[in-house]
Amino acid sequence: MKAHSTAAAPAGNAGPRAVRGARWAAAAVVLGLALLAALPALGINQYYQNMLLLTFLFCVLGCGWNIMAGYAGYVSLGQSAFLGIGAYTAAILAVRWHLSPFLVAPLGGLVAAVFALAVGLVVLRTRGHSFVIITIALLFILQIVALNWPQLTNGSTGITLPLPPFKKPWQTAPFYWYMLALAALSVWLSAWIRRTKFGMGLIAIREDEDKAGIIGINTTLYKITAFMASVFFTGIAGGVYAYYLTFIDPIGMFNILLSVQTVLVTMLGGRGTVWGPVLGAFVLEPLNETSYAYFGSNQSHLVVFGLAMMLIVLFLPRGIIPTVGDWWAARTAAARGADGSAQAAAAAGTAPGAGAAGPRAAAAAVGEEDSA
Amino acid sequence: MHLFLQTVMLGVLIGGVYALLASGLTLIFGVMGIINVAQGALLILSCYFAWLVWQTTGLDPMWISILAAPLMFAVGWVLYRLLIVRVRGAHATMSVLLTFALAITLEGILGVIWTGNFRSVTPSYFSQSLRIGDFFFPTAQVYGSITAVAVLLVLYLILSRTREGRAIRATAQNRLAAQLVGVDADRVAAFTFALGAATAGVGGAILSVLYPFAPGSHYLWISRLLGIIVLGGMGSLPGAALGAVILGVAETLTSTYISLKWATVVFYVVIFVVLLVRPQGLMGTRLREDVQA
Amino acid sequence: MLLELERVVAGYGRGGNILNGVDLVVDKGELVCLIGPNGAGKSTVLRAVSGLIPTRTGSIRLEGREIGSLSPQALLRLGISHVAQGRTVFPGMTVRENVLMGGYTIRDPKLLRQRLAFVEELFPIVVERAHDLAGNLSGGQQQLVEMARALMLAPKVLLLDEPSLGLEPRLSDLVFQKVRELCQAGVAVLMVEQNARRGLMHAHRGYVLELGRVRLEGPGPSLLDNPEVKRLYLGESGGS
Repeated sequence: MKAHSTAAAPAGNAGPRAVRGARWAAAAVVLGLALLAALPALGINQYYQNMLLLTFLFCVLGCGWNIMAGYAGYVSLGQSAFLGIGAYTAAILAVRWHLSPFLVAPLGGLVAAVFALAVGLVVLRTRGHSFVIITIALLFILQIVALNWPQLTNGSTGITLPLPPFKKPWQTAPFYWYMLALAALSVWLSAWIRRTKFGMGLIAIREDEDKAGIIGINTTLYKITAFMASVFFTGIAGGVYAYYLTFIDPIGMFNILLSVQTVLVTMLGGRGTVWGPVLGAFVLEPLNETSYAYFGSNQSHLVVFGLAMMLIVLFLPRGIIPTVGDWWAARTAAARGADGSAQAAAAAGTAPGAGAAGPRAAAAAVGEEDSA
Repeated sequence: MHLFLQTVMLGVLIGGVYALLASGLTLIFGVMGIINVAQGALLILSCYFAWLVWQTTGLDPMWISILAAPLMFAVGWVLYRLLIVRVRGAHATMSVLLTFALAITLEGILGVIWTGNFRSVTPSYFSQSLRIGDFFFPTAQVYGSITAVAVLLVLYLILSRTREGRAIRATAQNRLAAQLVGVDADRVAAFTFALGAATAGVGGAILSVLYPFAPGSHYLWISRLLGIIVLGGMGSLPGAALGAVILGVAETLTSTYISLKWATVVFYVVIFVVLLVRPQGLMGTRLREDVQA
Repeated sequence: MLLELERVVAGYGRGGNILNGVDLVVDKGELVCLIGPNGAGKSTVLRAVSGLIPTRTGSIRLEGREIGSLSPQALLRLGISHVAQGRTVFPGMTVRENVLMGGYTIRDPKLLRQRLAFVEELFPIVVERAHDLAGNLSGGQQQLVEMARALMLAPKVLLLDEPSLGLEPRLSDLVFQKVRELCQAGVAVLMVEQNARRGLMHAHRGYVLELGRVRLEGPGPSLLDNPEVKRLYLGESGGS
């Protein structure tokens, strides 16, 4: 079911039309990036700069999370833990070394990735429910450690970062560009992984981890690598985000709501698709800001957020891109005439051709018996 | 030595309350294979119910807890029919996200009505202590534990003596076999979810006296409860009781001898270690799909 | 005929067809054995009959009445009981509780007691081990408890999925003996057996299933002598 949505990407047997399409798509991406990058210079106001910056942040979080959850099938609620790690790394180093947080932010990405390596070695042995729970536990453990290790983190008082030197009207623009660059890199990484053998391996793990192991995929290596890749840019973004806020504390940085929002953004756009998290971020973050502005309080905002999440889970569980894609495919198939579709139905297995149905049916029977 | 014994006994008392709170979560998981992340939010909902009734009538919260049970049973039934039934059979992620969404929504609704401030229910015995031999225990804690254990006993009787209860146990032990003897899986699931909500109803009213609560407190509680059922073995009711007592004692020992600040970390560390070392917990059965051999 | 399957096509969820038009009949008091290779759809036939999976096309009839679209609960009421493959007792319940669960749909306590007495007479183990947890019994004993449980509703048709799986010969003989007793009492038994020789030896009639269709049928002992069956299922590779 999930496989169909993502299986369209490989460009191996692309015809000239597909190549032309890819060129157009690349051009559109470059144009879009250029336009977004130009916006601060074109003088859009602080409110929208802030909104877009947060949208980019969710692109980074979503694309990262998508590598683990969308490709490899390991759904976590701990993505924001790595944002927090990146934020604290950058904040602590910037304060101690008297450097710009911008300079040390990449180190935050590195620390996040190393942490993912260490944690992944143990945590990735669990699956399904257990993995979700363990990632929640991980997030809260980090929060408590940050609260109770004041020598390093300043505890609940939090850390105040150096004030940014940027002058009006450019006080937000550097953060905006930094985050935009990270978002672009995140999409690029996610798209690149999707096209490689490594990405195919992750999808094989998602579909059936045991079988993936049998056909020779080193599942442990793949999962750990994916886990590290999924948190690297998130860690860097943590540093940038911390600098942007100029103040961080454990409750705000190791925040499970950020993880939930990351999941929501990706699910809304389409889990396992390259552009899903981007689309989701661009839809959800503006809605988020609007609902804040409209409903004012944090609490009513939670209600809106919770209800939106329920609606997505219940009515759009696969996300916009796969759903619209299938709808479009069905439409074009229908347009091609009833003849073709009748043949397709026959081929799909309702025909009594026992010979053709044999091995597939047998495999299905074995599978069902396992899960029954 | 005296302090140690006092601490352990207090831990056992707290464990009794935890056992009731965790029973609903483990029951729901056992029957439906769903982790109801909203269990903590249902608890807090019941805390507010108890607070409201106590403020208007002055009724003892322990009696309110009995009132809360049927009310929350109904809430649970409606939530199941409205929401949970739609993600049955879907991937585990979906049910986690849906119940998480429910938790956030409840948190928001409670916050809109009663703000994010901490409340607590303070009956006359709120700050008193009971002396038993050489030991002193907070009166509210003793009453709370007695109520919790009594309700657990009722739950046990429901599960072992009634037709619905047997159907619940049968489904939890072997879903296919339950279906083959004519158990309606959907009905049992609804009943289980409602029963789980009812335990949260009783538990919430008890908690309202023991701990200050705010809409956001549900995170703390769901983490504690997850720690308990993971330790006991997800889906196992005796396991939940055992896990509750162990963690209750571990928590009080940590806060007495180390620091209150680190007391809650016990639960997360337990989740972490148990899922890695012994995923089936103390008394659970191993889930094939959850764990690699 | 008590139970008739006509051109039954069925499969799981949205997957392809497992059964590609199965025809078979079972009469009152008859013991019918289904054999065939792995994945031939043997268990699927039982699942379709007991309503665990829907019939896509074709017809399943009980005493002439179409039952292909009924729920497992409804079929249970009509008299079809299914003992699934593997150990499907409720391990955390006592033997008596297990057997009583078989009468879950009986609301009349008097009838329930009556049936329990009937089953206890047929299966002494239900009395002997009444208060032991079913999970602590041996595989063969669990199989007997499962059969006892399935008989609480006094079914007309009993579906047995590999009753001898994993049992030592002495115990599986006991199980087959019980099955024959049931047939003598008028119950129609449709049984899946991986061990073709043992299954056909006890059965009145047998069907060989392949790729979701009936390939051969005939009286049990004569199928045992069929050269093709011998080659495919009873030769060096057979019997496991």
